Amino acid sequence: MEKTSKQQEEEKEFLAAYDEHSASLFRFLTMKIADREVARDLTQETFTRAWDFRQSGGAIREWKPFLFRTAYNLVVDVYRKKRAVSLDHLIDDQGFAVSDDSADEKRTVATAEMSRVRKGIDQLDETYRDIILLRYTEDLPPKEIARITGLSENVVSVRIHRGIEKLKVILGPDAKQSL
Amino acid sequence: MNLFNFFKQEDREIAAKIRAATKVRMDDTAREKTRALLSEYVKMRPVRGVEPLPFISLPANEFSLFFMRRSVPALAAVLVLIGGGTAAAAEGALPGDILYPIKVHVNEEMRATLATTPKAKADWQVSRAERRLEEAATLALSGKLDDVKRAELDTNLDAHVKIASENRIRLEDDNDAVGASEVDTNIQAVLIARENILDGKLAAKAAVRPETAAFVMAASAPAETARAAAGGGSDVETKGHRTAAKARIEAAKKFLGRSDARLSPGARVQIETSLKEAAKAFSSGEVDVSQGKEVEASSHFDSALESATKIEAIVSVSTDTGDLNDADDTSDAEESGDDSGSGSSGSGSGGINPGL
Repeated sequence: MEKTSKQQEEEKEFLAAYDEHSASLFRFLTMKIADREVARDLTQETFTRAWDFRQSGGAIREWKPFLFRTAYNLVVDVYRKKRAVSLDHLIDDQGFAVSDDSADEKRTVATAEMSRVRKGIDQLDETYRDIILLRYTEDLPPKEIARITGLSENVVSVRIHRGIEKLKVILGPDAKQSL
Repeated sequence: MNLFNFFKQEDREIAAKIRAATKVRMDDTAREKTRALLSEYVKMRPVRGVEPLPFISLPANEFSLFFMRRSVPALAAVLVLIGGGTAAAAEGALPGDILYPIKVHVNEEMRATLATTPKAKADWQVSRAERRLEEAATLALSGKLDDVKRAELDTNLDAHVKIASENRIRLEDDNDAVGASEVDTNIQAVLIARENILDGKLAAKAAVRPETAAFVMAASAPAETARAAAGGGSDVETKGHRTAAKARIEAAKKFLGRSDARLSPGARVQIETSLKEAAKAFSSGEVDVSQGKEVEASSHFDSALESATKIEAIVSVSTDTGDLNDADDTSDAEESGDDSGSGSSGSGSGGINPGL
């Protein structure tokens, strides 16, 4: 009875982690590989691997960095090809819904401007793009990004700073006018 | 407003733009479907120590026929019967072990049901083929790769490749040329790796190990076909060497961890040194691949395979001479490598961490 209860607790914790983090994982994977179906597969595979790790006796203290690290490695290990579709094209043409839970942001950022920002992100080198997305889209601190990517925290901080500077240059003066 | 605060404010606003511009989400139906599949999955694979390991006695053939239908509820029912602890324990089973049919026909079939797209299905079948290669390498190291086990591995590997190929065709039908090409490359790499697991260098050992020669012969035909289909392409060859190196490294790690691996301290040190070299080269190859350095990656995977192959040669020589305690007998090992005496990197063995 006690063992069954422990199993139930494990299952509950795992599914709670899915409820909490699957959306952000899917978003990150979609941004990285630009393929909705593959991103969905990889989201599922990320959680499957996490459970396999847990099932074999591994301890997961913090789910979010663990899941993102697993997903990041999964992409590096399995899907090595570079993105062939632009972020803007992906969101416009494959039926992705822009989240409605950002009413304040939507008031200040017009749809056209979002498209321009997406194109700017597309032009960033992957070295900066991944880290910028993890930092600003997923709101992860540099320390967690360092754990996910295997880089030092200092390198991550430098790349965030440089990535933002590069994005500002790409977006040009219009970016500042609309701020 | 000072300069510092100005930049902080500017960064906050561009951060808000990035957030707003990149918010996408999975549709609710897909999200719930994935959740339901994962819920089934965790019930079938309880965490270690949660359930006791019961006695079981189920014939493999009945398993095979039953799971041809690949029904999740049916798999769930059988998992309840045999116990989740058994399923967990079966993951380490090898051909000939009582739990091996559960590994192949229950655990792996369960994973197969979770793959929903042709690409995911094909990828999982390729992974299963790689697991068969790792099992073959592990058995070969232990000198237990007899005809029956070889035939079982061959049959299963062919079945995995066949299903992967079927899904490749489905990808082509769906006009997913990129996905189909990727699957095709992976299949060819597996076939080349099958040859490399017991490659030509070890064929000389056939007189001592007939099972080795037989496996090489069985593998050589499709591998040649794969190589020809790839047009001698270096990418496929590199992937094949990567797959073979990975299987050999994992097999060596398991072999060293087995209680029945009777090795002298000297032989163990030699094997551990080769294993570290192989793991280090493999990790370097992975880094090269992630950075798009294909030539360097190919070189590192070749080195990893060479070091990993050396391990079997060391074990094989020890077995041939009947002297597992002769720590200095490395003549054959040195034939396949040129720096067996070099120090290890200190990075430690077990450098491969698939997925995690």
